[in-house]
Amino acid sequence: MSTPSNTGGTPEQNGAPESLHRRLLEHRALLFAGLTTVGISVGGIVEIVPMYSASAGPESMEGINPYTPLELAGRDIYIREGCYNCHSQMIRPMRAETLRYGEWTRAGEVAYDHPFQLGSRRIGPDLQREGGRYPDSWHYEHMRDPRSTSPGSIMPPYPWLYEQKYEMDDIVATVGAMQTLGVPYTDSSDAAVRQSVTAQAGKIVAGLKASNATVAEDDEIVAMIAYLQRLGVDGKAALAKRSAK
Amino acid sequence: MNPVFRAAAESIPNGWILGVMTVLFLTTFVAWTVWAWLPNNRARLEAAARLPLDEGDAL
Amino acid sequence: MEQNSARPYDDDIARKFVAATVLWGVVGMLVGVIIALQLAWWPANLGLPWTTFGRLRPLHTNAVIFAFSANAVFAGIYYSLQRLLRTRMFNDTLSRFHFWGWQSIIVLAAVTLPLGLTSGKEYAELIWPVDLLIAVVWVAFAVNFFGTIAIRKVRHLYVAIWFYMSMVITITVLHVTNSLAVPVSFTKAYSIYPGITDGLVQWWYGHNAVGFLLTTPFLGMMYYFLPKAAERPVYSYRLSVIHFWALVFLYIWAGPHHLLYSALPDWAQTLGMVFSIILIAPSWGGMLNGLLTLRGAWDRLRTDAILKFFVVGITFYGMSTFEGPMMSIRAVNALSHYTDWTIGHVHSGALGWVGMVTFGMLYWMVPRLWDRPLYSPNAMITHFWLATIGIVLYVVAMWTAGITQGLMWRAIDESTGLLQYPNFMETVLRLMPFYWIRLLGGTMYLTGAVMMGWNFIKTANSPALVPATRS
Repeated sequence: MSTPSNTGGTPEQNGAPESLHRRLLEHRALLFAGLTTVGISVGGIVEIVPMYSASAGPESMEGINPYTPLELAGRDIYIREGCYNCHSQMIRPMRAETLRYGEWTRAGEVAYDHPFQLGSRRIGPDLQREGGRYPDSWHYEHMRDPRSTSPGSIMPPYPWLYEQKYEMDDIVATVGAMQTLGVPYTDSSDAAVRQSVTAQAGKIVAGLKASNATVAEDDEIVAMIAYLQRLGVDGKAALAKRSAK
Repeated sequence: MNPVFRAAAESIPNGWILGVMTVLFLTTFVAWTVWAWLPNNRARLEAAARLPLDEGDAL
Repeated sequence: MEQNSARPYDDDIARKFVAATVLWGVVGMLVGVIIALQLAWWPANLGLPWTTFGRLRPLHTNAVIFAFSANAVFAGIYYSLQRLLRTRMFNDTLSRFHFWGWQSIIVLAAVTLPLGLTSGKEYAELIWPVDLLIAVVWVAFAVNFFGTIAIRKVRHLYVAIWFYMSMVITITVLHVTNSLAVPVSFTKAYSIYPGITDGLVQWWYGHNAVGFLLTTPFLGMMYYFLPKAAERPVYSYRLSVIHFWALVFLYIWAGPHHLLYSALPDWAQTLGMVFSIILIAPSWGGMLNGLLTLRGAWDRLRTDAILKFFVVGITFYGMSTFEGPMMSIRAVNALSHYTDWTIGHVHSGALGWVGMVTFGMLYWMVPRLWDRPLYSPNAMITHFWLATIGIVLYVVAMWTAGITQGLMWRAIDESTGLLQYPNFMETVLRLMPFYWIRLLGGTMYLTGAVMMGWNFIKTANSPALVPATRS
């Protein structure tokens, strides 16, 4: 730090011997900046680093599997549409919450979520255990016209999910990225991803057809339904198994 | 995961690091407060407080 | 006082940031009013992908935080830093790069967010190329900032600069850490942190972005502009240097209070709660220091609208920094979390503290930056009352909505052991009257901001009070 050439007539130039603090801190802006950096870093390090211990990772819970490729595609749509602005995915351990939504959310259940989608506001209900709550056809109707299944709902309709298509190449790239991030996918090859997507989408489309809803396999709504129907399912099964023991 | 990182991660919640840091930072802070209230620093700090007013604005 | 006449201050850059603050402030608040309408009346989503609530809400939050508030901070810093250090900015080109770079980031945000291009992390939604641009522009600003400190002509760094400095440093650390992601395309990337850890990193970022973008630089601006407007030094300089370090050290720990009762480990939740409560002390230190600066001058409050803005702003700061720690107590959080109470809390900080201090600062700066008296002091007074009443309507509506819904969610019929309101929709429909009141409050606040913009345009276009040739 350069020495100021001119004290600008400020009062402190008038003689008083400089204290240690002034010489070290105020005349050394970089040192001051360094101390500030230390001050603001401590809290973050102390709180974040321990999250990499075993208790918060996927190993804290057995039976939690990564999303299927189609579900990942649905998750991307969920994020794109900003669903987290109105729906949480975190059930708190309170009687009123478990009565309404089911088992409270464990850390291991969301360990494969990049990014997290815990949410902060419930303009609509929590979705962490949405999987299996309603049939596929309910979601099909609800996303197109929320008031047809939920009278009075303030949710906007999402008609474009029935026209836009998901891209297989994007899903392959996403699975690859998840693998890079340490999510244990055994086979992220192009062929394996395509086969998985087609099989799961085919099942959903067939099920919807049985309830008189026509969709194409690569409509975005199919991926969205796959994702919503997966939410909380593994955790619910794992917790049921745990309490049965 | 890096074993060193894991060990650091496991040790912090145990409390001793937090304890040492709390004492360290609290001491520093108390010393700093005492310094600010030392009588011989009074005039200097009051002069500093006048910096925005004595600036001889171009206006 | 010595004035370096060879290198007068760069006021052009402050004028630029003032204009950007007003423009983006109006845009951000307008989007806020639109999404408030969408919650009260869903057809306002218009059935188009890029106008739905889920995409516009991030646009609103990003616009008011990174466009309105950040531009206000930059305007305040460029004006006050040069004067407090008695020197021109270190490098004018860097200043211009900072200005145009930051505005292009905002434009990119306004385009990408409605298109659904998002990272999916609340308050950090911008996609990775924009994140990189933010980092580059921020570093340019930091170099210019520290460069100016290096060439200063005053030895002592006035406390306002400490607060600015804490912002420059902390926002860098927060932004870089929270934005780390693995890209899969030019518009998409996935956060490197998993699940609950990502949540913790995000709220460490989110809470401290509030702390170091919406609190510390605004305290710095309070410590500069309030003494200027009140024409008296700050009440206690000692208190200001004490509460600076306390605030900087304590603030960073409080993030986990956003994840109480979540799957976050208990010890981390407890740390977040305890530090949030302790945080009352330095926050109120700042509030009292601001308010007491006016001791013996309270009569001026009746006539001086700029002081009115500051006093209401500082009072809301005190109120929301009391409310925040209360909401961090588990028992209170159990009720308030996930409800509109949080939205009310945020807005008493954003509309009350950030907004009012910004308005006070702008009304003080604009006549000086443009060398003209304010075109309409009456419009300024009207703005003050519109904003104040607007905030009260907004916050009271949200408190009532939040507590109402929170109580309905938890109501259990003890005779049957079942939920009293098992249909979630019941708890939503009960909120509609409050959503309309919120819309009214927000619209009043927006109207005031538009009036301010009109007043400034009129001021800039009126004849100069003194010749524009500066010393």
